[in-house]
Amino acid sequence: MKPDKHIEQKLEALAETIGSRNSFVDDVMSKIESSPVQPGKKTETGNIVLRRIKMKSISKFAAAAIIMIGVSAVFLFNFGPGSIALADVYSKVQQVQAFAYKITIKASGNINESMPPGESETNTAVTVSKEYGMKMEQTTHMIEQNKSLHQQIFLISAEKKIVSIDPAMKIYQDIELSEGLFERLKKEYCEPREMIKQMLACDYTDLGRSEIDGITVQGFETTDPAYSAGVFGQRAVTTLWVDVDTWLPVKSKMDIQGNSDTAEASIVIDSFEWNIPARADDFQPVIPDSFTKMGSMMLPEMNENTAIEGLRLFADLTGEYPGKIDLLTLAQKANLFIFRKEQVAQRMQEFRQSGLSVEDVMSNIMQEFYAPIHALGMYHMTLVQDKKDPAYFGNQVTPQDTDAVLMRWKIEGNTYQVIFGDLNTTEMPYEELIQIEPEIKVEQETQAQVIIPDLSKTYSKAQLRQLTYDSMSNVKKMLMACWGYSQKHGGQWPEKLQDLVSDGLDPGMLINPLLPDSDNGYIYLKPPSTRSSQTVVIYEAYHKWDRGINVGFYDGHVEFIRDEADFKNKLSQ
Amino acid sequence: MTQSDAQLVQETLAGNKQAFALLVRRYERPVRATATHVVKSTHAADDIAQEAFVRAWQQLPKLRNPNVFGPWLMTITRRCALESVCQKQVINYTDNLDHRVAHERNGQLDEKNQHLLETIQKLPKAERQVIMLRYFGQHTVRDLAAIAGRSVGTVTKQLSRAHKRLKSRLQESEK
Repeated sequence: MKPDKHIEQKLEALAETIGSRNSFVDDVMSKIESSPVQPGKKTETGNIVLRRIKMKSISKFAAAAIIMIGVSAVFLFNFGPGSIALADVYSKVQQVQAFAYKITIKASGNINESMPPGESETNTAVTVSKEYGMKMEQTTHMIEQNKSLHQQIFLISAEKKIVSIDPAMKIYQDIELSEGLFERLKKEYCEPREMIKQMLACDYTDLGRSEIDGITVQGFETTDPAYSAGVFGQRAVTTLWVDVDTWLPVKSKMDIQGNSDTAEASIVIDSFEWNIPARADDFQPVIPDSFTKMGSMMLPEMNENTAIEGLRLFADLTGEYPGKIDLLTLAQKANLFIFRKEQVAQRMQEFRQSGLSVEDVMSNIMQEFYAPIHALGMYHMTLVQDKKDPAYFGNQVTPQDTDAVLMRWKIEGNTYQVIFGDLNTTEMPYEELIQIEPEIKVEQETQAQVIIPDLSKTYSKAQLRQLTYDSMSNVKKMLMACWGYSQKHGGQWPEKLQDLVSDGLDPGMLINPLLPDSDNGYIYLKPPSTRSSQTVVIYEAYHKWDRGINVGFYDGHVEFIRDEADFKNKLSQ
Repeated sequence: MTQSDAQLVQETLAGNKQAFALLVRRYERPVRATATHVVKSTHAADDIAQEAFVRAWQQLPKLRNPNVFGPWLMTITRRCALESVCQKQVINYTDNLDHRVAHERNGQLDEKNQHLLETIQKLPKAERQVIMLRYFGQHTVRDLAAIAGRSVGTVTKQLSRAHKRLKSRLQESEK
């Protein structure tokens, strides 16, 4: 039976009236991204790499592959200056054509800036061939969710690209590498000679001899930021143990201090196998026809121009320069803001209207908005690794500060390249430079180490996490009670939180579980007559800003805010 | 190839938020329609629709049968809409909307459209689902079959029955 045309017309007219909105999907996904409550759990877990895969499709997918390759490369071999011992290691490793090792990452940290931390363990098997490239098989076990995720990453030398595959989701992505980036990665990954050379530039301490699994080893330890390419600043302590008979690495361990921006993690690299047989086929991904390609992405060169483009794009999107430009921070920031920006939404709309598939739209967006910012982080990483004495002042310099030094690094001898606030550049001798550049502020992460938070002294991480959730629940209930109160009182909100108790709220809700002895564990601000969904109504009291606080808003939602400036900004609104 | 709701739900639960974005895209208009039916305003329905999707995302692990994602989502939407009506939250619905939304003044549906929407809401679940996805989601019958994990024949019959029932009920009310 053919559908009645009259009914069809009515339905179509109604559908037109109901309408849709171009940025609706993005708005929903942004809300989901910033939602303090995630599916089935109050937290989502995953290591610093896998997090990016899960958080937002392609961006995480691409970032995961690049970061995993870049970061684990520097974890593996970057080590100490020209001691005789490490030079021996170097001479041994350079002869190796193919080798394998395992990486175990135990992480606890935030999935994004509005989330309390979670825990995960990631096991990665890596095989490297100087001729063919490398491949990684990675499984992450999310402890609290009791779930596992699997990921395969290939760096294919012949094609100068990375292929990242998620077998469970049946998706994959090609990431083409510029010539410079490919050579850089290849050097770091596939040329032990270059890797060891890189390591020899770091400062390290000789730990003497010990024994691991019956093997006599010599230990070396470093906190040199160049070792982690500036990714973790000085928060990473790395130890390498070398077999004293073969002078080949036996084990490497990196402990990374957590702060509000990045996860805490320990990364152990061991189970080395040297001179293993390697065939070209082993390094070619096998992708079933049923898998969906999530578009392609081309990562730009890492140089001054791409760095400037990254800074310009960031400023265009946010009105300011990023506070820090290490790769992880930039990846995290970009993941948080890119899909919320009007310019990005407009471009998505344009791509959609041009008839591109969802996957291709996302790829184009990533290429246009994510890749330049990523390239900035990568370039900064190379400057740190290459000991170019880079300094960046994005936390003090704005796009309006035309003559202020935004970034500088050494190009040769005593001469530095300088990028100003207006993104113009010049070369300058160091003596002139130091007269005009801002003083380097102590990084927040360093301060976090110095100021040991009272809460951390009092509670374990697990306890803190649970109490944070409990407090978040309290704030939510108080907000709901406020709404109920206003219903009964002609739209008027209570004068103080205690008024809610006489209205039926459990008085225990007024006690902040993080400050159980305080009668003022929560600060209440009666909403003014001009208010919005983002008006702060309730927040956790604090003496000194630590890991963040739960904040309740007028529209009833609660966010865990990690950044004090962000909180104060919201409070001032 | 169009993925079924169940597949997208499973991928979402495996950590793929893009899969959920596809569900949002697929159900945006049906959810708007359901919200509009309750709150009688397409403007107000925008916020409710967003809230419904966020709640669905948060509660997704509780969905025992991923094949019934659509009806389950509509239940959440109705609940959100009813809460909104009860709380009478004051929200500036006109902010930040770009505007294929709501052609009518103040987003109010006219009487005929409101009646049509009510009639759709009173259809049996399966028929309501196919009507909403077919006309509000603008999916082909083949897509509908893939989305529901059913055969094209089954979906065609459901659609046919829904048309017949709609026509009959609309005619009755016009008498």
